[in-house]
Amino acid sequence: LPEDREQAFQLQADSQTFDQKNGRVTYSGEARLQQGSMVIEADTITVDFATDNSVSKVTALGDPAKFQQRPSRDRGTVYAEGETITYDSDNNTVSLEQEAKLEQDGAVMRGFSIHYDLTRELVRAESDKSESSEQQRIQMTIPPAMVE
Amino acid sequence: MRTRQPKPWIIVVGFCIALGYGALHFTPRDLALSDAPVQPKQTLPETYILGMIDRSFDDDGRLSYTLEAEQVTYFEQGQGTDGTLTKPKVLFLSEKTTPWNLEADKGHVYSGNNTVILNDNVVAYSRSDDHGELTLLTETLNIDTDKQYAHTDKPVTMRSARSNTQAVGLKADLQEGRMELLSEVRGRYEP
Repeated sequence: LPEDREQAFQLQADSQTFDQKNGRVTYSGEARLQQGSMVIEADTITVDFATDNSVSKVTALGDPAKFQQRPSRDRGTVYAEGETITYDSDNNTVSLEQEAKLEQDGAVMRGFSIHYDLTRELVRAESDKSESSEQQRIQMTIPPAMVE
Repeated sequence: MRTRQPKPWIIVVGFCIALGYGALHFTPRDLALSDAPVQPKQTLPETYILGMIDRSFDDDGRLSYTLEAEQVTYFEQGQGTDGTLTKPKVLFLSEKTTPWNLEADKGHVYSGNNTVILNDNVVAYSRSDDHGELTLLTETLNIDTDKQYAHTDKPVTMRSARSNTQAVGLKADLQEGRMELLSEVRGRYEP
């Protein structure tokens, strides 16, 4: 939701390490991050901070790592997953890498990587350029109801 | 063949002898004292120091840490001495990260090994230009002064400019600036 960005980030995990030199925090073991309607769940979640100590980037690794958010009240929740999920707080974007999948209101997109601009609700998917095999291409499934 | 029964008077005499033996050995005073808690042998302090500052230098002659206390009271314990600290303060200096200050209401030092244990309102804080002040709060903290390493199994609160994290258990390599919260981690970062 638009007001998500004004909410605090809440994190939970089994353990946490803090690297004072780089100002980086890593949460491990059923790590979960929530900011308003945005939720990220993964094996590990690493948080990087800007110079003013605000959260600048969140990197989640999992098998897969999961993301969900309600972009607006009149739209359905977006569900996404990938082996690596990177949330760029400054630009309000989410990048899904490897086995990327994004779903909203029944429409499903799969690809090697997917980049999702949360502000403009723009999605860009990419196949794996290193391989030309079929399953690495972009796949899109749109339910009939949405087509009419 | 008839079995011979011991004469009744022998039993009575034996009982009286046992009674007399008991009376001679256990006076009422002994019985009363036997339940009294055994008072630990009260050891008097061997030495005490007011306004102590202990400075430690590395091999290159640089100050690596200081231990201060309003008062240190040393008791002799077996081979070494055992010191209780009032208002202890530890300062760790390191080339790799910013200095760390550790303070508490009470503490303990053990001669012969480089351990300092801080108790009651333990606060550890470090200030860096990039990330502001980082503060750790707990009840008890075990510190290895040579390695600048601290650990506890107690609840811990970690605070920084915009965050507040609660957990149980901590391992902190202060020299490397690396903190590990061991379980039940709950963090909150203001936007």
